[in-house]
Amino acid sequence: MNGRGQRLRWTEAVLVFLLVTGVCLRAGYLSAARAQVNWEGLAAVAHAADLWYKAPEARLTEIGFVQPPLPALLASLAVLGNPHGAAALARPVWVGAPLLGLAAVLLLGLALHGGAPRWWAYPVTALFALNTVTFSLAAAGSPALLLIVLLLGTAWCLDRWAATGALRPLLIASVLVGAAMLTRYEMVFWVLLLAGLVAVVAYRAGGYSRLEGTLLAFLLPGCYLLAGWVVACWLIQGDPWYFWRHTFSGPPSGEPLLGASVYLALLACPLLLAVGVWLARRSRARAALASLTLLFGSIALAGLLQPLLGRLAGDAWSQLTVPVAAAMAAGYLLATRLLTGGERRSDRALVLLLALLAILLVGVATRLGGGLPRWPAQTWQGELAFTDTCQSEVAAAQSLRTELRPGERVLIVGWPGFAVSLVAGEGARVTVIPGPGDRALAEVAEPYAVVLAGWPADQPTPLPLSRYELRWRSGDWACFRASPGG
Amino acid sequence: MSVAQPQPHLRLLCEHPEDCANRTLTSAQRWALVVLVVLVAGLLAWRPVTTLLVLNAAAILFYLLHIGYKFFLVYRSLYRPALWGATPEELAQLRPADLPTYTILVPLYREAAVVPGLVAGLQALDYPPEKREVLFLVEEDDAETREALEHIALPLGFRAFVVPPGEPRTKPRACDWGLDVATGELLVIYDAEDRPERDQLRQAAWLFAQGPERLACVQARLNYYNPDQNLLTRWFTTEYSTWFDLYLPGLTGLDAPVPLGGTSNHFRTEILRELGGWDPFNVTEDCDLGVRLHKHGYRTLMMDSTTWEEANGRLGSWLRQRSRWVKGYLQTWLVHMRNPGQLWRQLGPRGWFSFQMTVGGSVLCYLLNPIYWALTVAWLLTHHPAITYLFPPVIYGLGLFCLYVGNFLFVYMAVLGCLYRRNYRLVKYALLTPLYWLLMSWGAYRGALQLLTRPSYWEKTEHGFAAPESAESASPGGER
Repeated sequence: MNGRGQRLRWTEAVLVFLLVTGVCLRAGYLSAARAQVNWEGLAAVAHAADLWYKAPEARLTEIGFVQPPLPALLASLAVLGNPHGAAALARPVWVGAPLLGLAAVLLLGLALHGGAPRWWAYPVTALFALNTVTFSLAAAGSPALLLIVLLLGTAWCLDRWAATGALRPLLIASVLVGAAMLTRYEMVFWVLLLAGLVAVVAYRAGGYSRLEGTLLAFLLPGCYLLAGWVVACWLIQGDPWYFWRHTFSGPPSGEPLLGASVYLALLACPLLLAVGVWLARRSRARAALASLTLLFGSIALAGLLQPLLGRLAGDAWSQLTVPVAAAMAAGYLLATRLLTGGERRSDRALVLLLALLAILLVGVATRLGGGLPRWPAQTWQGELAFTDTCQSEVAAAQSLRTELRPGERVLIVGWPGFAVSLVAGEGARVTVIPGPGDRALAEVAEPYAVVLAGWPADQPTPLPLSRYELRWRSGDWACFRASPGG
Repeated sequence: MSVAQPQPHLRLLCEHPEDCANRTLTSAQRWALVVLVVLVAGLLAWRPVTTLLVLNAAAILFYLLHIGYKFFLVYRSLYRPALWGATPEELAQLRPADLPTYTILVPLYREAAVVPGLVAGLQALDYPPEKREVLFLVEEDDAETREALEHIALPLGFRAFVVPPGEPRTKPRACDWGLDVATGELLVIYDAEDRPERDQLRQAAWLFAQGPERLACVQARLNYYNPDQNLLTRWFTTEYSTWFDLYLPGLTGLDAPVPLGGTSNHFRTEILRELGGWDPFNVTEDCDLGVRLHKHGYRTLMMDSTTWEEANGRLGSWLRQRSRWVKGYLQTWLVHMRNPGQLWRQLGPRGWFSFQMTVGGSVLCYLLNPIYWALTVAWLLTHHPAITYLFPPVIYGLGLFCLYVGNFLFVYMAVLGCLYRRNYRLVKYALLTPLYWLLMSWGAYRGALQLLTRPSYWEKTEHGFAAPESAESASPGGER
């Protein structure tokens, strides 16, 4: 660590964690009380509930491969006691709020260790944690927060490694990047980027032999985790790349993630490219300040651009906007810390320039169709961005509990059936399939006593439900029961 | 009336017979072993599957503890490195007059060829000649080495000491005779091929002066000057880097018993005499002595100074060396487990657990590994239901964890050893260490069998296949 860095005290770490977590928990509960949820966050919790409560005994092999496993494993903490009813909707914030608290502590520590003064580090941390984008994602329990924590943790560890040459941070960083890949498969690109950075630093420090050894050590845990996943996928699914193919088979079909990332880089973080080169010749302290500004700026800009990206690249990709922005900013921070040195100089001109560029960028983003998803006051009161109402699913779940008789099994067809299943709390008796397709038809052929199907009331049912009679409707959900003669 | 003193190498046997490996098993241990074998055989005959299931569960539990403890030691070493050493400024402040007298013991057997280089190397050590005594311990029947020493002009303080003939023919026996005539306040052992760092004696003297109370031993780190000779020496260097740079500092940091390395352990001579010297019947007398020091309440520290040795690059010779080490570890375990309750009281719960994991556990791991590898291969090839039955869900989960995570952690610890020692070019070979484990298990079975037939037989390690000059270019290590 350079001599200018300060230590993050335990007391401030604990206080920051408790404060951020507390505020976020409150907002999350307020949002859940209005039945406003983030589908990704709720899906992770429902996945975890399936994992632990679907079968009589918990079976980890149920985790599946389509969704990366780590969010569901982490969400296991949020399904303690097998929650059901409206209370289940508040469970995602159990995961999101502590993660936001942790991210805030990591960022504060990163800032202080990087040489930023406290008067600067605290506001930046507050802006990062309480801005409408990250705060909404955390309060709604989105797995994006896990990714941000992993990325910030990696950034901190690599920063420590670069500053001290110590092996322990490198060891932790290598585990964290492995975990990041099992949180979002697409993060493999971020890991490759980091590996490039580690390679440059190692080569500068000790030539090819050091590069080879350090890079192998850094990539080994991640590669091993991924290799284990590929082998498991092969043994269970019969196709080693099943999860990988599935990841890239969704929208946008013709646009790879790399394209989206470059697009994001060019739009959301042009500062990274322009100022990065300029800063590479400046001091570390200055680089840390700039990087932290960028970290906040890029996340805010990601929020501004999310609607635009969602329109252009599809929702699935736009969900990555915030973590990718955080990753790029953290990567930039690392790059500047690793590649620069020299004397500390005045930060005023730099901060002014960054502020001007940020204002300019906000203007451009707004013109391009972006915009902050919510105002802060609304967000902190639980009116979160990136959420939808699930009142229809709550109502359907309550009716379903009344409908089901002892020993009966139910098939839920339609999206988001996982929400109905979670709120109903009948995981052991429920099979959920996301949409009517070949598999749905086959499932219906099995003797389910009850079928809950979700599609608009004014459209004919796409399911072969001739043997079933309609019992009730709740929003977009229709409940059928097998007729006695069928 | 004077009481007849025992011969130096029998001092431990006479004064502390409970700590001497002259008998492999005590009668109580023999009975316990018989009862255990009969019990397991009976249970296998009565309920074979349940018995195997319980044994399997016990083995997997052991693996979990072993993996966890080893990784904890490594992680602790990286977090709080327990390597002690003086700065050059502190060393410079040591005045020759204040330095204690030092005895260097160098046991030699049929090593005439290395004598000139050895003398030059020891002479180069930075320590006042008038305070340094070097004793070359030569066996009486080793005329060739004796002649080599007679034909060289030995510097001031260097002399040859002829060890009288007798049994057992082991290195510790020679060392005991050397200890008997040593005059130094401090004492260290070097092997013939050793190349200690120049300031090592000063470092040790400084540590003994500044170190904690009841500090009895300072162990230097050992590493090899010929890692690039072949694949075996690369693996061996990787293993040594992990053992001496990460595991042992982790143990000293925990104040747990330290299985000392074979050379470069520096002692307070008086304490060594008080403990009865080395056990001549134990073929890893170093490991045994480390445990005995701890039992008697003395402390051992790791010194931030390296002694460069020659890695054994020939498979046959390597296997013989490994067999001896495993046999010695088993001897040490059996000796100190003669009274497990007393050992618990002497070492404390932490020390006792650490002893089980580092001394008994290491050997058990080598012995168990082939069984589990064979089971894994058999299951992959046959999916036999008997194997499936041995792994009910919880055991299966834990076993899978050991297979997937445990093996990885051991490989990764080897990688960390390379990085710590700045042997970056060896990292890729560390990835292949599972193949090296096969060899280790081979050596372990050989050693375990030899314990039954020739417990105190010393299989000498052959040296002299690599040039010691390469020590100059070896890496200092110390990356955390």
